[in-house]
Amino acid sequence: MSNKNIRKRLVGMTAAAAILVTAIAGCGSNNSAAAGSAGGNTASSGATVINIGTMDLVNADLIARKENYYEDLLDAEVNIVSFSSGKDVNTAIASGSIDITELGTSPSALGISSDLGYSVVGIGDIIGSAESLVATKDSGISDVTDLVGKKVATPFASTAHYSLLSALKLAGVAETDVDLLDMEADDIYAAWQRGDIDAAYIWYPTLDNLLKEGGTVVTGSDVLAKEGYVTGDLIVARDEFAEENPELVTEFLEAVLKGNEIIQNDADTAAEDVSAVLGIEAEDAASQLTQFTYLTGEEQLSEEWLGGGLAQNLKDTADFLVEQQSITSAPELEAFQAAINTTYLEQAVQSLAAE
Amino acid sequence: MNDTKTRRQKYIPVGVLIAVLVIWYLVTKMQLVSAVMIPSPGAVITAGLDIIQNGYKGYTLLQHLLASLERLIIAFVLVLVTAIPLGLLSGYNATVRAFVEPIVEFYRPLPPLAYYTILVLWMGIDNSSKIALLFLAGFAPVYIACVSGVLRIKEDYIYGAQTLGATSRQIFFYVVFPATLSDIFTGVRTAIGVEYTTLVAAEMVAAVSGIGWLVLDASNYLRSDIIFFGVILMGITGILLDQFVRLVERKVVHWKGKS
Repeated sequence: MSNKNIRKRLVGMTAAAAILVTAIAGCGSNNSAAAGSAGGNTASSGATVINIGTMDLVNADLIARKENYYEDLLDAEVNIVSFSSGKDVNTAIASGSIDITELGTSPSALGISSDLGYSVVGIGDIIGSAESLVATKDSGISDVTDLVGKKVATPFASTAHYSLLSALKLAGVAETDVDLLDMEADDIYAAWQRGDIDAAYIWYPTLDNLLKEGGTVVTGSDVLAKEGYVTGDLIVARDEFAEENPELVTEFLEAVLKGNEIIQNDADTAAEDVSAVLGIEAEDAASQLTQFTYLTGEEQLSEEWLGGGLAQNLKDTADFLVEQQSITSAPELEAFQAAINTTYLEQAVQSLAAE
Repeated sequence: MNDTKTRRQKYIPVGVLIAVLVIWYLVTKMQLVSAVMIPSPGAVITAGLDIIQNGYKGYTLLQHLLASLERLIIAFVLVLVTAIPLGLLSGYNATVRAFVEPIVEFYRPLPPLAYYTILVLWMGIDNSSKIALLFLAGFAPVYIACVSGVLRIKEDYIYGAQTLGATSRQIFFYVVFPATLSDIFTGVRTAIGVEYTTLVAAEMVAAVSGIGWLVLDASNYLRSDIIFFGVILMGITGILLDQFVRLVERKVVHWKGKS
């Protein structure tokens, strides 16, 4: 009897081990195969596929999609992949599933610290009141200090999470005194309706829904930005892809800049485009667009952002994550500076100016 | 000859295990893949020791394990007290079976994550929705094992008991129940396995503790060293749970395997 049992167990263990070995071997060969085929694609036909990640953030990405800028400007087959939060984007880009994407400053700082092999090539938006801390009517929360002992939900490892923790730090509230819950936006809405949570730090459209359910704004990312805790959505490109297809990265940024121009010069069209892609009212879209700051190519390249300020911001964010014991260590400022590549944006600005 | 064969087979898994560890070590040592994809064994051990000593995000490792086991065991006990009687009754009585079986057959193949969001809507984010999910996951295998166990009983046994003047109540408790014990245990072991694999899903929404949550939270921050540690720990715990049920089975159904 015991022999039989042992044999069974051994067979099981062997199978598990075999699977592990195959998985490890698979990882190695996958990487080289992917690199090989990507190179082969560009060389032979020119029909490269570009996998663009999106989180449906209210910025030039939506405009570019509605106006077909990606299809028109990019000399490649465009494949758009949707994500609900930055952590999924990080995983996807690490595995080579997407080539270029928008990504919040917090997940970006995380990814660069973990050396996921991507670089910041542009800025999608700077977050204003579009991400805010809202509390339920009955919670009695009117100030950040009132959060002590309350249930507060936010998607962990996001810009909203970073802003929430920054707000707690500024108010002198210990993180352990608050009941912090990791929830995706949809779950937050459901939990709010059931009365399971007292407050949430979240973005659109959940934010709007919570306000309609009687929520009140306690603080927001616009307030925190004034205190030095700036959050935004960056455009990051996978290094391997960018090295092989520099022109596609430049063309992508041209599409984004053209989208930004529409937001800045033609508010009505911008609101219509956003409402069309997201399936919301044009008024809501217009109000959304006022809750972010959008930067022109020149502004992005300036000292304040890609020219220096952003590297410091990412370094601060990563240091904050270390303080939270979420990651073990953050690299030096130089690593973040090295992970910002402005050559593509400079070319995009030039070629748009030449038009 | 047979003996040497089993002895050889005994050493193979040990060898495979060592080989895996060596390959793992070499792959990370030669930096064939980034540390995010496969952390080194050393990093995993360091992360594990750190969690054992300092806990993870405000809870000790034991608290995480107990939080998971608490959900698992409550759900498991609920399964035992509901699925076994219902299953046996359904096997014994075709009318009862006609009531219960369609429901079980409908939800059984559903992926737990598909209906978990509904459970969260109904029962909230606290432990109750998590326990309900584990309960549903474990209910089906036990129920089905009980039904098929009863249906497989040799009719001679029942006829024999009837001939000797047993009431249907007596037949149920003295013939049907013991005869199906071995099937019940098969179902119970499957249920533990299914519940355990559902645990991570159950701890995905708004948990702040639990071994599944630990792995999920670590993945937020790309901490593959902690993920590896958590997964290995879950594997070992899973084996121990299964061994425990087997032990109970050997004590209770001591006649299994002897005809």
